[in-house]
Amino acid sequence: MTKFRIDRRQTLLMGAAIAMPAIVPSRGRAATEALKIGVLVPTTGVHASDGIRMLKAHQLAAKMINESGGLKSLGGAKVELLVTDIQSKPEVSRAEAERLISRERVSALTGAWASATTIPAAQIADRNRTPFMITSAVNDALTEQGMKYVFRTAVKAKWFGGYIADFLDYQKSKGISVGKIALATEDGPAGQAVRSNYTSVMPGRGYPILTDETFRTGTPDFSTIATKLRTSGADGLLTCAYAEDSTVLLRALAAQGFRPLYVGFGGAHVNQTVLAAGKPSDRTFGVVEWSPDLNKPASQAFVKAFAEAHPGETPLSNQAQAFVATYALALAADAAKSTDRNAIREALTTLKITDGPAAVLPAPVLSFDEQGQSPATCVIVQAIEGKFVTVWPEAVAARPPAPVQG
Amino acid sequence: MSTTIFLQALLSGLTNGAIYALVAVGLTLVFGVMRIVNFAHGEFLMLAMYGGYLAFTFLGLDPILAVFLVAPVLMLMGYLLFDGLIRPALKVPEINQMAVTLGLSLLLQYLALVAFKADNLLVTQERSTASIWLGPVLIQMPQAIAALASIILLGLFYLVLRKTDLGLIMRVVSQSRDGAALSGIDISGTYRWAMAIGLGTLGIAGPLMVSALYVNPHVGQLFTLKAFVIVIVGGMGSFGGVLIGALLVGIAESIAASWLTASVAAAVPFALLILVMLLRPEGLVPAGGSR
Amino acid sequence: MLRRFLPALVPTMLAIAGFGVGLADPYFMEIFIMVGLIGTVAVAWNLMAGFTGLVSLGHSLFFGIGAYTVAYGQVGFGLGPLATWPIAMLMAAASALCIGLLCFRYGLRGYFFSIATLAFSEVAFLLVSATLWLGRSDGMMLPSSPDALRYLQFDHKWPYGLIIVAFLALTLFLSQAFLTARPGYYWRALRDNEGAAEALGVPAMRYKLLVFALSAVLTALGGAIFANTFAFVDPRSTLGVELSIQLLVFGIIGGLGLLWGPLLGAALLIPAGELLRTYLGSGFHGINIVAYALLMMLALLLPQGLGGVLGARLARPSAEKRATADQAPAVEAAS
Repeated sequence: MTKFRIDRRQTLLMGAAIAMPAIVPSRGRAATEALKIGVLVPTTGVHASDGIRMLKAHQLAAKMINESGGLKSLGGAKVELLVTDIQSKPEVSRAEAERLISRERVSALTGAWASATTIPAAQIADRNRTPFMITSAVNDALTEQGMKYVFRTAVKAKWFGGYIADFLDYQKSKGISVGKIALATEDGPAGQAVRSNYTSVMPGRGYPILTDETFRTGTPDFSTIATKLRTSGADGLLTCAYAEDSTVLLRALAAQGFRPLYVGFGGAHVNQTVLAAGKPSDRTFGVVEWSPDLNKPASQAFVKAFAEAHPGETPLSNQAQAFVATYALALAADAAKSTDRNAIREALTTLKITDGPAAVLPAPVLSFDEQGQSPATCVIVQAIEGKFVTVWPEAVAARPPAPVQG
Repeated sequence: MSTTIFLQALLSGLTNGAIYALVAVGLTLVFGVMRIVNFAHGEFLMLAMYGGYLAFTFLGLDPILAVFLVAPVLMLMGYLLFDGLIRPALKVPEINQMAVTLGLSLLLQYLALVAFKADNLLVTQERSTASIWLGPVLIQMPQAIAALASIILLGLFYLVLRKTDLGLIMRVVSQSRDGAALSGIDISGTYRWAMAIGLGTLGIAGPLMVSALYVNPHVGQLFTLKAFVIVIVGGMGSFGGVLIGALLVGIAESIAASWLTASVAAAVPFALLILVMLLRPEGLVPAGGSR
Repeated sequence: MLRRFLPALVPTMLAIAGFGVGLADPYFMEIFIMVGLIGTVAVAWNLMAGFTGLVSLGHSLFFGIGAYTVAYGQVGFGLGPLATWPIAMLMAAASALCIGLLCFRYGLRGYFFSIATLAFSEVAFLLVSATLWLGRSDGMMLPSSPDALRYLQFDHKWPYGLIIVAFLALTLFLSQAFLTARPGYYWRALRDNEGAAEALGVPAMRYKLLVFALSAVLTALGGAIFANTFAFVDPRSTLGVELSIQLLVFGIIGGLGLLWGPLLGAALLIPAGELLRTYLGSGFHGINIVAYALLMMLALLLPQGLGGVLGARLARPSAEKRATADQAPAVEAAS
């Protein structure tokens, strides 16, 4: 058995030696001095396009931190991202989290796009007492079940309805009245949570729901759903759908000449694919956690840095969350003066970011409550002339909302 | 459920069904003639959809015209696929055949991922939001065009099968391969044609569908299972069966979706499959004949 | 007696050795658990596919029955594995018998049988995704309980590894017992030519139902262990078609005609996937392309799988002494 172990370790060492340039950014420093953060992203599988985008944001944060001198309290230690592809599958996410924790001995983890792939990884991290910074999953339970090592920069599913109701109240105050709502949500992990939230919140805020339609992602035809929405008598439509499904739905609505006040959900709506649909997506709103034209200096700096690193590309809301997540972990390590997992966890509970390069998200303060949840807020953007523009809240808006018709 | 909604669901179901028939007919042709199920069928549709997208974006070709470019390319692929992979696969046990075509399906998805990245790509034209109203209900233009093309093609198929020599040969080979061989028919040649035509139909479906939908490396997966269901419900190797099966699946799916939660509704085609397999396993419109 | 159970004994000993290595290295234990669990389920699946010629593409149905029975049993009723595991296995057996009766009565075989099983598991997947009290698409987390031992909740990984070694041993020995007795011979006869077998008096329906039920029960046990080990079940990972296809792939690579073939397939592919992901990083799709191309070539050119090649080499010295039934290359052209 001893012989077997040595042989295997030799093979792994050889493999590591060959592959080292691929996974470790070339630096002059010894590897042990870096802050190792495990990054779980789907770069293959159904969520690949989102995962690849998220990765760019994580990498930009690491680059910016390292180029400005690294973690000062640790002698300029660099942030080292150990990136892994979770293939859009929960069991792979779980296994990779385990590997990064026990094999690569990362100080913290971040990721893992969808709720289904984040839940198992977060559980493993919590069980292994390793901080996990959720970037984008909205599933409420993640910061409601007392997992001490799990933190989240994203908004909880149950908060979105409230923000939309706030926006609709604002519209009402400006004379644009939306009385009755219809819902169209995808019948999977993202949509089901949002639908529960909307159905429990909206009626209480004075917005009755007349009809609530579901569809499975990949549905090729939305004519019947569009008819049901149109004939329901609703003048507002709240949706939760992946970008590709949104384009088919929007075209179906346009084909019927039905133009309600449309609010799409998150980065899945506020997305180049949706804009590519052209006129049908024009004047639609999206409720997102962040927008590139946000009126905050750190946010502008992030957008600029991103454009320099990836010419012609503008980051999406979820990418800002990934960027902030990476920064939060680094800042916590810096504050804790340590790369120890527990020290980082402690530091996260007292972290308060109000300015600096990490103050990118719209909420005034980035901090984490006793359940690890940050007081994340939303903004409403609108597709105007082929771009998404922030139109609410007034404090950070680039311009007021444009009329839905005309 | 109001009458309007029911009628719309029915009309949409028929339209979708016609489109599904176009996708499934290649599968049933290949199975009927060669007795092999191509698990990568959906991936060839995906490639044809990319073809339509590329023709539109880089050559400015309307998808209807792109069909004349993409279909021959898919036919060529079918031709090459037969000699390269399917012919050797016919010699190994069925379970190995499944592994081969499943492997091919995944291989093609990853090749597409490398070539085209993961993004969803759209073909956006004036037509994309145009519609044809029939009283209180409507068909969207891209879907209508695809459905029409499907019906024309199936009609053409019927004529080819019944009236031409090639059609006769294919029917003979479907019914009895050994008998056909004994009569001097070139089995390999027939198989090759069947594969080429089978994938060629996807070359017609692809560009027309990409203008109604979108394309990404995994879009084929949405149709493979559905095509299986249709082919079995209709009857493996049966043309009339494909249309009936497809219309049935389209309507069942559409009406179920307007009535039940989406996930339960999505189970309906499979429930239909199970029902048909148990009550009439040869399919609703059996092709007849055996090996 | 020893000779009879050698094909079960050797892999079991290797598994125990693997467990030993895992005790020293938690990441290795993690891989060992995945290989042991899915590999053993693949062995159970192969009783039907490789030995009886019934290729099920819907085996995740039984895996899901196991996983969700445990999950819901704990969350809804506070039941521990002592109750939920037997219930899961009974439910799986009942399902297999129902599905089997329906399918075999109408003579479904070949591609038709495979697609029918796929349809059943897809229906289960969709219905569970729609069912609120099963967690819908979000799945169910198995919450921590103060009564940890009763619910098989351990802080370390090795107790789970031990359970899986036991599961592996049980499956291998039980399967081999059947395979080297009358059922095994009847199954192979049905695989090679069902018509001829029936003509010779093999009770086809009874023995097809037997292998179906046996395979389903063992698969459900695997699903149950999965739920307790990972404390999280969701439709995609327990009822999805990807799992069913994995079993097929392991079988093909490892060898369908061998008891331990699928286990070998799992032992090769799962660690290889992990290693490649570690050393070649994310977004390197090339490796997947190579992997699937290789799978296809193997399926075409090496129908007996890598295990078959290995097995043939090992069996050569005693080829003259033994009946060739077990070592013969996998499924001849089954129609």
